[in-house]
Amino acid sequence: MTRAAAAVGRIDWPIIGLVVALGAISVVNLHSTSVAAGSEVYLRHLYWLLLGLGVMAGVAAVDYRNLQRMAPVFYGGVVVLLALVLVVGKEVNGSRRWLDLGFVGFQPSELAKLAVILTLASWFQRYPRPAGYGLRDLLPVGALLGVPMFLVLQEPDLGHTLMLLFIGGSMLAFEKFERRAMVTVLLASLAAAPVLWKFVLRDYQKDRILTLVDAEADTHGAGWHARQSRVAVGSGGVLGKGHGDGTQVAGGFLPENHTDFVFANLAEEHGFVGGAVVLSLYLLIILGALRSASLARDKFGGHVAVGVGALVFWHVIMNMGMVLNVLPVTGVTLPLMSYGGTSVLTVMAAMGLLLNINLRRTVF
Amino acid sequence: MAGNVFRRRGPVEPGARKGRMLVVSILMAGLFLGLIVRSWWLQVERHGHFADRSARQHRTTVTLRAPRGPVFDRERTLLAETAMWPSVYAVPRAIENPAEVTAKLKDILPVDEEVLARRLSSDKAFVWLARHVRPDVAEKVEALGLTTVAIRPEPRRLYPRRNLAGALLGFAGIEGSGLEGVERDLDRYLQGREYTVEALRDGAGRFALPTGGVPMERLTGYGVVLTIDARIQQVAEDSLRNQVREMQAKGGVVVVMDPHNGDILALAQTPDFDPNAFRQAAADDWRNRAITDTLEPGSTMKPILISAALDLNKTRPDSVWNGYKGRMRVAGFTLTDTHAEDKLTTLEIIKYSSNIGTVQVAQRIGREAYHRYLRAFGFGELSGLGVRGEQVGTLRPAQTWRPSELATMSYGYGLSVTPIQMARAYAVIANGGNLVQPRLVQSVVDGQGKVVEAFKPRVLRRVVRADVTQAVTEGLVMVTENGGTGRRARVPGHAVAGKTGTAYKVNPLTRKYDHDMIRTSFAGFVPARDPRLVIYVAIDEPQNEKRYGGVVAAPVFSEVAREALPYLGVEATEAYTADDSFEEIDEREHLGPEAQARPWWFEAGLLTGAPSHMVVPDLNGLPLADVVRRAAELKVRVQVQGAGLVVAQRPSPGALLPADGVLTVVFDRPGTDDDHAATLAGAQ
Repeated sequence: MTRAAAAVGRIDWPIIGLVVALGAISVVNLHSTSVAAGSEVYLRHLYWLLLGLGVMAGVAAVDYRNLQRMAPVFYGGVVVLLALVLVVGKEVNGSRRWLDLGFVGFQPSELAKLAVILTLASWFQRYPRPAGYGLRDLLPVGALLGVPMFLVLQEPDLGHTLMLLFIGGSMLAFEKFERRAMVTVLLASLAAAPVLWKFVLRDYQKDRILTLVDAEADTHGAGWHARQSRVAVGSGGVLGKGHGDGTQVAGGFLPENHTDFVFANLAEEHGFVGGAVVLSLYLLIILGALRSASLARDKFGGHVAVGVGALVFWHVIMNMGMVLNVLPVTGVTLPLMSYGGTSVLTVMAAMGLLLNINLRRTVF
Repeated sequence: MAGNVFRRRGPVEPGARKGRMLVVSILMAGLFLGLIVRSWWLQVERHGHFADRSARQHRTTVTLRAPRGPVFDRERTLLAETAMWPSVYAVPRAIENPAEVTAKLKDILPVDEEVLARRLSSDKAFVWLARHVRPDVAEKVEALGLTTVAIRPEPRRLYPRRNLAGALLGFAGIEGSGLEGVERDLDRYLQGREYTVEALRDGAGRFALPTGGVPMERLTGYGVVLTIDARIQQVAEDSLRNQVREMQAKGGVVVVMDPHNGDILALAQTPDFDPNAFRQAAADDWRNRAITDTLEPGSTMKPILISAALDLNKTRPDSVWNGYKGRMRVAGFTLTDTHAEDKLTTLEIIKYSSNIGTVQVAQRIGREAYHRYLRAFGFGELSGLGVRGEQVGTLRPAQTWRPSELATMSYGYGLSVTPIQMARAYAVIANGGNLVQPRLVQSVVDGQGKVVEAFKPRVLRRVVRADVTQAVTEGLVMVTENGGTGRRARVPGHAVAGKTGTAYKVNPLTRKYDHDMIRTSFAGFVPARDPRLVIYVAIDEPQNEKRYGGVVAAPVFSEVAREALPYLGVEATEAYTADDSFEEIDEREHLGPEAQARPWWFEAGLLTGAPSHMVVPDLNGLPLADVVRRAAELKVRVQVQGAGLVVAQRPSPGALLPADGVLTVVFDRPGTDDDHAATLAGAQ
């Protein structure tokens, strides 16, 4: 067997299939809301997905060990962009998350997730501690994670801040730590929570969390999205109202219906069954990522695969949790399903990383 | 190089990581399961609840009204119909630059620029800019190509014959309900049924009304077929209008009736108005004078008295009465007859309209009998025409009549009647003695013209014997023959039976009979011996030289009959010519109670039901302070609406207002386009 043939044999076709399937579903789903709104969002989304497939292939093609060497540069660039967006970013709804590139908007916080994944994986690879990482080791890890988190929180973008925390935390969960370090981090987190609530969270962010407890209390402010989303999903029933027959999401009762709340439309029009199918596809991707992690030839590859899996997992949990009214409203997108160029390209690049790791896995 | 920490099998660090991978997988699967459970809860367990909430949000029922049904005359000529007409509306909320849109529309729409600007810059999602605009205006608006201003067809009530029977028809409001006249009284038939459509609504509050699926033909209001003959109505109106203009009179009424079944063939009045533009007419002109205006009948009442006496066998047609040479003292005052006769027969009393004769006849039958017959002829009761606002008139109980009043009552003073009552009483004489209920509505028909409900003519009671009516008819024919007071009522080829009436009116300021205020009338039927038409004509306050019923009102009778009889297929059979004599004969008839220049019943309020009346002052353009001062001076109660300057008042200036009546005054600021007439209609 030649080397090329062996490589072709290691292409992770199931992952590609899952990505294409989710992409197709997302275009169909967006078609419904765009037709109602008289726009062509679903077509633009399709173009982004096609471009994303190219990005995925590109990322998969370069040996990921080169990416490992590039990680610090990438990280530095992203931090600069995150700082830049605070200064020259386009202000939308009171927050600066977008860099206006003229022809297209660009969200550095999306790239920050990839940067954190690559950088943390690279750090663990470079500084192995077979006996477990101690408190002193956690300082640089905390810094690598904390700097982008801090910058994203300034935008403000609580959703992505938490996203970075969760992705980083998930990656750390697979490393070994000294008991003392673990206890200290846990206690520090507990102590920090009230401080964060009081001094870091903004009022509207607190409102969004509080409406979870009592969504009826505020039907037009913070509770509006939550309530409308619940009505849309609940009215869908088992099989849904049918493609294009949704009245709540496509009818405009639920704003942001092609980005953050795109799943509400799917659940309304295709019901519990449609939602479960989509959820299953995500689960398969995540399991695929974990499998890639366990097959990776080195620690870096394993960490990157875990990071990619965590990225998809936490996106799905936070987005669907928001749509299903069990988590607060944060602007976290549903991977591939939500319309948005940066988001689609980021997820596609992450999928490319998975393919990359599989291509270069250890052969037994 | 470090090995893969995640590897389940392999050389590097097995064990701990393997377990961790399992724990993480289980945790993640658990969270996913949580999402699935939550979905199940929302979408399956609580589906009913949310489906309900969803339906309430995006569905809304809109209640609409189907168009009104048409009004026809007896020949099914359209008198009122409903057409779809363009109205211009705007979506101000979506207008970015109201000034620009205003500039584009101000020369096209018949709306004040200021009003237009105000409406366009409002915050509403929907506002009418101009309703029922001309089609060319609608085209111009559409040519502008504005996305925020558009045309929507609305049902509009149209009266294709314009002023014809305007006061009878009345009118319907812009929302499709009848406000006046037949439109109001037959609203329950004419009004389109309400229907609800389920409209879809989106989050922005836009509606989508589903089209079709509504059985409009079943929802459209029923058609109403009147007994009116549009041709006769036209003749009556034209003739009346011309005569009123020629005589410089204040107004007039013509009632044309079929004496046998009570069918109202025409109800004409002047001043008239076009119900298409009812707002431009004074609210006072909206009323149907034939049923709302009460008047002292004067000499037209004499044949009724003679009928009573004949029916009671108290006299015979050829009995001879003392004429007292034109002067007679009765109950403390002196009566004079213009036509001084030494002797005259019962029928000649009618012919010469002798007050001296009628007083003697009345004294012979007595007040109770006279009163009983007046009631039998339908005075003092509603005619049953079925039109709201009908007046009963005044007919006091006989016990309250003083001796002098029996005298004045005999020639038609001291009681008040409506034109429709008078026409009906003459129908009794014309049809051989039966009181009929006047009929205005023949039938109610559906969209295909099928009769849904028919209204039968009704004979209410027998009033006098047929030989009595025959005799009285001969007396009435004498009126139009040479030497009679009503010869100008003649119709070529037909014998005409009728009686003139010339009555002084009471001046509301002096509360005395005013010699300058005269109401002339002529009541009669034709052909005299086979009557097909009863026609009553009253013309109010003519200003010509000879202000007598025979000169002012009789020609209208003649003209209407001459034109209407051919429509009914009645051929000219008799040798009568129109006006065969130019000999100047005295057409005057006695005008009435000069001796009682200050009628006590007017003072006592027994006739009018109020101690006194006042003439409504013209308050137009006055500020509130002046209105209050004038009202205090005149001791009139004023009801005030709005603010600014007086723009409308009810009753209109110059009308009579009972002392306990309320004068409604509407104020507004200059330049607003509010509908004062509608405000008044609402205040009624």
